[in-house]
Amino acid sequence: MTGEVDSRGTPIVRLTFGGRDWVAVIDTGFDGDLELPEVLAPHFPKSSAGPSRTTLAAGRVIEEELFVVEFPFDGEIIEAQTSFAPTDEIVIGTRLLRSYRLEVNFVTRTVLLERIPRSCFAVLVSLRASRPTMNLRPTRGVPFEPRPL
Amino acid sequence: MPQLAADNVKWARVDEIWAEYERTHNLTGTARQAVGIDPETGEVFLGESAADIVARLKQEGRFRPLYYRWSDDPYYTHKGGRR
Repeated sequence: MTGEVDSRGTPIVRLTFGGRDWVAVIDTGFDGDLELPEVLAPHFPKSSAGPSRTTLAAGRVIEEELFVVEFPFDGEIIEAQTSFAPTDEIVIGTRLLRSYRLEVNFVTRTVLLERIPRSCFAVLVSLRASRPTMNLRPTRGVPFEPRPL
Repeated sequence: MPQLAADNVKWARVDEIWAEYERTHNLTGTARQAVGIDPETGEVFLGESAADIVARLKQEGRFRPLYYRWSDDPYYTHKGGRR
């Protein structure tokens, strides 16, 4: 899945729901799955899990209703946790990307989201644990070869 | 703001229930877990995530909205960047 770095320098991907395109900001300071615009709420079969507390950038604490939604992402329907906010953009957090490698190139203004298969992930974790000085950089389509630093 | 006051009372009760749970259960060495707490009954549910707890309770036919936190963090979500 690819995206771009927008004119403000923010990494985004574009998603289509309800017959229109949406900007989805990739926010590495957000440790949840998703924040969705309120206007999208009717498009998702959802159930409220209940309230939760959220900290914002300035340390402010708010209460948010947590929902579990079926969210179409990267060619699949995934189960994700979300809150709804009066915004016009989707925010993607790091929990949604826990099976992905994220590459943001601010020079070429490109974004790459690459799903890492679980089997590959287990190998990487194992290799990292046994060879902590190796530089491990798996790349799609290229045989994996650990390189000494 | 009566609703806000009621919410604060609920969260105070949630924090109290979790403190008691931590005091009476040995959580040393356990991985970070999502915690769903029912402030009415005092029940505590643990899972990989809130979605995991919701799915399990629905499967068991006893779903109701809970108050969520993590076992090692009272805040379920941190929005440090965008908001």
